Amino acid sequence: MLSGNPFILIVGIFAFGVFFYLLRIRASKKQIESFKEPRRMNWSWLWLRFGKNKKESNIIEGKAKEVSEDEKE
Amino acid sequence: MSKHAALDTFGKSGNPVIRSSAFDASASAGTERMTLDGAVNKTAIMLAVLVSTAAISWNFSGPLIGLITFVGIFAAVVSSVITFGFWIPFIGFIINPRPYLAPRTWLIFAAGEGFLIGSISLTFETIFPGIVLEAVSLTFCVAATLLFLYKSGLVKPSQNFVLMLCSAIFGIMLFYFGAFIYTLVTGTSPEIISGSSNFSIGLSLFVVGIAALSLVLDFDIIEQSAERGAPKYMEYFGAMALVTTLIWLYIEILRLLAKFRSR
Repeated sequence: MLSGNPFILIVGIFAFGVFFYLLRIRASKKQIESFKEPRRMNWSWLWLRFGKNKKESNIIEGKAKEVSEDEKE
Repeated sequence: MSKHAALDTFGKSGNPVIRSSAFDASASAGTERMTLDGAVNKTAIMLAVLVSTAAISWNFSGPLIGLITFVGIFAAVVSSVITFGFWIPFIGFIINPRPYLAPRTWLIFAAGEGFLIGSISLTFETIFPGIVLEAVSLTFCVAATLLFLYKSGLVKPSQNFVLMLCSAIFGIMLFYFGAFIYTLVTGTSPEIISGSSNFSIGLSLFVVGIAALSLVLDFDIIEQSAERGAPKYMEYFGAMALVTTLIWLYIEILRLLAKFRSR
């Protein structure tokens, strides 16, 4: 495997180090703020819709009746 | 007098029900949250397991290792389908993703994929000595470049970008499946897959490009999950997604380099 050019090995080790360094640091403010943009991909459905501890509504769709403060009185 | 004097004074309510953070897309209270460091550590551990099993199938041969490799690859495919699900354009998920299973499936996945990588790498290295080192180096060069572009905010995956990329990935999968059927029927691999013509190299370059762009989605899943306070199991899910794409990119680069060398 290591029969190739040693320069390529050095480049590979450097790229590996840069990759893990960049992976560990937080993304730029520009990227973090873009999470709120409307057309931006939002991955929260992964754990909200298919997650183990997904919150389930206790209101049955279409059967819940909104009670206003005036009706209470 | 305002009915919300306290809100006017302090700016926000202390009541956990009224507080806006109660409606955030974060994990429910009491569950452990995902961190960026956790996902990075899991990625490193998965790659270490993968390299270890790859070294086994690289160094040892025989019917037993062949059987272990076959079982390992099958188990890895099953565990990845269980975890990631199966999506078809315009239809949706045929098999729903189960990210909460990732803490249980990651080890089978990493070990099995290692056997796959080991056997593929050995085949290519036997024909073209030194190609594996070049492919590994190029894979990490491409991954580091795209990670820089993502972290700096130069690349922001929109919903349309994700849809187009997923459709392209599905198209490539269909193409490979068709080529597989063709090989089974005729006994020879199609020229566009195994040949070294300009068109074949062009197709390989396109697939490498799609695989590289898929890395952006994995970086985005990891970054958003950590930022939005996703449950702990998303660390394993993000790491599995990233390792899957790295493996795909590595295999495609390996094939591209082989095509260049056989010209």
